[in-house]
Amino acid sequence: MGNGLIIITALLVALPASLLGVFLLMRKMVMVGDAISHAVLPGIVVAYLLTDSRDSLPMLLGAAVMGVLTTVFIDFLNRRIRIQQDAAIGTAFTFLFAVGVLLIAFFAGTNTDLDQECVLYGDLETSFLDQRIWNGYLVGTGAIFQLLPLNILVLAVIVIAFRPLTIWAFNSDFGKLLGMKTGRWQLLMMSLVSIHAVLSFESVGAIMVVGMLVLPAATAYLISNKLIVVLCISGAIGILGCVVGFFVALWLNVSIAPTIVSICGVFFTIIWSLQWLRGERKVIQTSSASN
Amino acid sequence: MEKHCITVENLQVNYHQQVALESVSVELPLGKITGIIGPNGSGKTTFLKAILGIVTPSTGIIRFFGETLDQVRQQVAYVPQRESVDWDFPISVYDVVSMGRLNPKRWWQRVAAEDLRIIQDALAQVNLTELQHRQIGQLSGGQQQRVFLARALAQQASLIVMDEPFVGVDIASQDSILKVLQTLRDEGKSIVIVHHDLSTVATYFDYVVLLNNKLVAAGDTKIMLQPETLAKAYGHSLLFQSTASES
Amino acid sequence: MNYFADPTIQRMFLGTIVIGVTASAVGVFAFLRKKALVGDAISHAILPGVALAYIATETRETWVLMIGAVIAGWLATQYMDVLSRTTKLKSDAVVAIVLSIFFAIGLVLISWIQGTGKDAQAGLSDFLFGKIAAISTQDIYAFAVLAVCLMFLLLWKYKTFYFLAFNAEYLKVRGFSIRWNDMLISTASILAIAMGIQAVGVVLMSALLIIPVAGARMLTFRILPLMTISVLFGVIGAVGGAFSSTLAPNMPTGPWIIVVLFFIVVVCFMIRYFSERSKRTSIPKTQRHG
Repeated sequence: MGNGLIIITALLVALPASLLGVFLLMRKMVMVGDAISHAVLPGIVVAYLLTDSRDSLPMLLGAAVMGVLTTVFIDFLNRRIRIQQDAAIGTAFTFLFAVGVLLIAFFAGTNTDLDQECVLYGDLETSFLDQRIWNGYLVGTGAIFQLLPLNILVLAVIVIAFRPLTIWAFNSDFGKLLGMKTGRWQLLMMSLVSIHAVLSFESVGAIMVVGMLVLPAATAYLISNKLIVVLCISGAIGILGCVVGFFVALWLNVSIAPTIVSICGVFFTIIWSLQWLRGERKVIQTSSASN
Repeated sequence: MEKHCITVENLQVNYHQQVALESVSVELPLGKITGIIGPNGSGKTTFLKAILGIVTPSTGIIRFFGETLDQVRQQVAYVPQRESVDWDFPISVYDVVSMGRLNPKRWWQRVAAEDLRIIQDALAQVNLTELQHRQIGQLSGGQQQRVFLARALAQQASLIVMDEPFVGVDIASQDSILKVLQTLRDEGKSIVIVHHDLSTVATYFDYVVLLNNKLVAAGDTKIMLQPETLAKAYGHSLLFQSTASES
Repeated sequence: MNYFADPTIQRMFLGTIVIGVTASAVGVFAFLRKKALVGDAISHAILPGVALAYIATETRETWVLMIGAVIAGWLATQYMDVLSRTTKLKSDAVVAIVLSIFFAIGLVLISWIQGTGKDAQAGLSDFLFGKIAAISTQDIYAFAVLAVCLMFLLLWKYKTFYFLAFNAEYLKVRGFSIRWNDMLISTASILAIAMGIQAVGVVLMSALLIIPVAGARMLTFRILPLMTISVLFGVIGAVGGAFSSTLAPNMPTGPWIIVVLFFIVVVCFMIRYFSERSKRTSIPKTQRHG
């Protein structure tokens, strides 16, 4: 039972990540996604200290705003302060993450729930303990209740807004020509990424978020160029990675979240090497043909 | 006596399983201004980069003044496309021009007085002396192009190879650059230019090479600009050729 | 002052200065080559190297872990390189992929070590957030020697690296070996990062590389001043951060260094902003191509 709940939690983290990650990949904003997942830390800590719980809605909203502010911050550093793009990202998220770590260090004495390493690893293993009982039936855990709405939201957004999202992802300039307010879509997607980062923190920790954002999406992108196919494959890989990763972690007696990401990494490497080998054979064929 | 600045024999360049250049053989004349022209995607820049070893060809024998590139590197000056440069890079006009005095075999050496003089001469030749301490992003398009030309001059090379140097440059700057090039040619230097604009070919070049992923034709300018020859290179896209930049 | 007589304090300051100097110096070139985030990937990638070195040798000897770190850093660099060359994936994706795979494997290894009950694993977690106090005096002297070597390399070859970052193709035509020079600066970066991680930790290491030069860039565009000011900022950040971390008990040094560095950047921005405002004639920004 505990295992099932854990797997479900992991799936609910992995699925939106693998879907949102496809859009980040298309827009070359993967590292911005990484930055957001780090930058929400101070927001989470402050909200936690203020409300003294991990479940509240205001915390969620506050941290999501934090994520969007991060993109604004990066943009500000890039355009107004005129720091080049990669340095702007690096400066923004390390500073915000540092502030978050310091806040934890300051208040760690009084609040044992805040833990530096927990921030990195997450706490999937014990998430199933926070069970919600309704009418005597186990309906889920606290984490699942938070993640489920996000999953529904992300799926809904992608299905309903598929057309405009495709334009925003692949051909933003063309969209602007059509009069599309591409900025709004960017804001929407970045907000979803931030909310996801905040909710996932507890389960899988900060660093794992970027892995789930990029690995399934990149693997899918190696296989296909069509957005809908990439989204499906990415989602499938995310799900598969969770299940396989969970059992491998159990078998090796190691932390679950990083194992899931490692397995996704293995999938990526396998697909890449298959593709590379196929490419090499083609080169040999064409050069022997022209000789 | 070597009659050609560059000899290309059977040059083939493949890129991601596609043929960018197919079996090109051509000889470029010494002491002349040669233009490499062709439609977009015809492999002009690839041709340049393959000759200079920036891109590795699948096959091909390239000779500069009869020798391999390794033997005469100091004599070959490369002027890249302006859009391939990061103009926000923290570097001054002077520093860019000073690159012309680099020597891979003695890179640790301090800049000698002789080098300083050559750098200042090069800057003067392109009228950039007053601007030499500016960061390169603070220059106009024409001035930026002249910075690279000054670097080639500082190198004191016998062959200058340029990639679309007239793109996005105002007419006045184009003229002044052309004048410098013509002076160099009259001094016996060879100049090879990948060019984008058909309408200026007649005035700029002594010799023309027409590419369309393979060699279409090569010869003196007057002969090359016959409609039949151009049609073979440009095909139907000739209808859309104008004086506008293709970049 | 009694404060500086304490050998622990002395070690801490010496260690952070050595690390601050090398990281910011090497960071100048990471910045010029637009590889700030690559530095981040290497920092994260070092973790499994350290973990494997520990598992293989069962010692927590710094130089052993450093070897593991450098090998892992080098592997990560090669993997990023190969992915860039053989796939359609862009640089941001490539960096994120290598970063997350290596780091995840590192965390798996650490949790495995924890599981087997070898209690020195607490030492490995220090690599995550940095713990300058965990570095022995011997190690700091070794780092200082390494730092001097790296600085010599940079002072000797900075012009080549500089021009290479600006226009590699031109240098290639002139006969410079891009491969060889790339390898030199990459190795120097990996060594600096492997050292620095012990003070500021894996997650924040890239900040030590990039923030000093980001600030310095606002004040100058010439290479020698850029390098000098970056190193100066690196030292100030290191010292300021180390000092701040001693003000309260149980404070990690890394985040404090980052905070000080960020503050320096803000000051630089102010300086540049006000100096630009006071300039009467401004050079017109041009229409640039591309």
